[in-house]
Amino acid sequence: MINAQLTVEGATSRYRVEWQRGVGPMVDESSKELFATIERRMDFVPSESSYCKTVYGPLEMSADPRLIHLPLGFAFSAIVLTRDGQLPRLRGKYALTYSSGSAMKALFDASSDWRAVDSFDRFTLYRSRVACPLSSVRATTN
Amino acid sequence: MASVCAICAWPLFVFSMGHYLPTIDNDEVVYFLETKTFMLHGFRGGNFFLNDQVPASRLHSGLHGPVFPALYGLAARLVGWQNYSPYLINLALFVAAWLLLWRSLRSHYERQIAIALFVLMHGYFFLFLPSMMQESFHISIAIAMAGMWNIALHRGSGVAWAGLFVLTAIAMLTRYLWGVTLPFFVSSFLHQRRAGTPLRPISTAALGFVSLVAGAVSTYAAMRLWTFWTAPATAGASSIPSLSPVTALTNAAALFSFRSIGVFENYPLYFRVSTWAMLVIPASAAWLSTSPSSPADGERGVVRPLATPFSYSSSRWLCKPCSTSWTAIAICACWRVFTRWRVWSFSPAAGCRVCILLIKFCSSPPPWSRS
Repeated sequence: MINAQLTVEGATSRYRVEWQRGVGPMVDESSKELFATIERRMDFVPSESSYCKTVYGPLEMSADPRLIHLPLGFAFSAIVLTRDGQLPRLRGKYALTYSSGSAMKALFDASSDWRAVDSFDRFTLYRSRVACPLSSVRATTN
Repeated sequence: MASVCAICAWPLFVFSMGHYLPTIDNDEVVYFLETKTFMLHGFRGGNFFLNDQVPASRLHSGLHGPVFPALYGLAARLVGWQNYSPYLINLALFVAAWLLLWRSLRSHYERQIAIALFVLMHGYFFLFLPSMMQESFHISIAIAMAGMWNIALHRGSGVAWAGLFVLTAIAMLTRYLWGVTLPFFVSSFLHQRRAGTPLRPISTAALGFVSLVAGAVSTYAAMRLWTFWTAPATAGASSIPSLSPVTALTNAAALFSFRSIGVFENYPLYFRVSTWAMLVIPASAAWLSTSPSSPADGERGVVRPLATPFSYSSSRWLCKPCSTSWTAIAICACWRVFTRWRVWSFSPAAGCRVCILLIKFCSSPPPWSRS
């Protein structure tokens, strides 16, 4: 009985059960819609390199459960700043940052290699100006 | 059997599985995305590496290797990939493994009841079912291994031996340290093939040496392959720090001590209670079970299967001191021993190993307190 009680206690905490029950469905639905909107501004081109099939984002974003709705089967690659606080050299097409309170967003905004595509609620999508040239081929994988 | 299967339904009563969101840690989110990528694009998807530091391999799945997402991705092509899909796949694997183990103990009703009680008493077997972490997969692998090993040893089935070695190979491709179990499988296989032939000490030593070499070579090869898949090819790139001798020694010391490791201090009572639940039940079963049925089932037969899981969990500890799951799996794997022999009464060596397991559990971190 004690074991069962402690198991439940641990699982409740680790799975954030109250959060999942309370706001989880709402967060899931809203992020599904949000990424469906973002998807309309993204292209997945099967013939491009693996870098062009990757979305970059800050390390903390990889723990954001909303990210599971990242569209079109894009991969997610976390980025950490270089020692001098700059963006690392990236060879991919898209980057995603949090729209507010993000130091990385300021760096993307300031970078001549990236342009902001649009802001979507809590996320801002960027596209590279230098990597993965624009393609007219639209993905049909979803 | 039905109780074990029924308790697997717990996530349906706790979560709205259609809206389940991965919250355990960032690994869970990344596994979810890796699987989705594999389902849609196979090995021709994008990269999951930090700062574009990709490995030399053309497979760019991610820091945990390509095989785990590939296996789940293949399953996802069958069942689709929604929030609840990891649960479906974990459930299918767990139930299949459990039924195999159950089947391997047929006609031994007391053992079937005992092992069901054992699994039911330990929440770890069910905790990770809804999540996309690797734990549930490895628990299922271990249970299936225990079942196949039982069948192979008791019935001498060539199919079971082949299945066991194939399963071990697949497991090694997901986590190469599974190779630590290989010498014991090889050893028991060779001994069974030599059954009826009296072995001189030198022959026994030779079989042991061959098993050890086979296991070591396979594990090393799997480790090199895993490194090829995951280690950045760029010189000077930051990567997962390699294991230093000091870290290994610290972890090894933790294995033999009662202290908790600093970052894992939550829920210590859970593991103490779990430890006793896991040890008292097998001890009771062993006490009530029959004596060795043949000389071949003597002390060496006890020590060997006990040593297998112990070695595996020890090795995991040397690399990462948070692998309580492996000892849970280990005890499941050596269930056959616990329920068959009076390990406590005639095997000091086995007794020592059980004590070490006890110590390890008392100082183990809980599974959900990983940093």
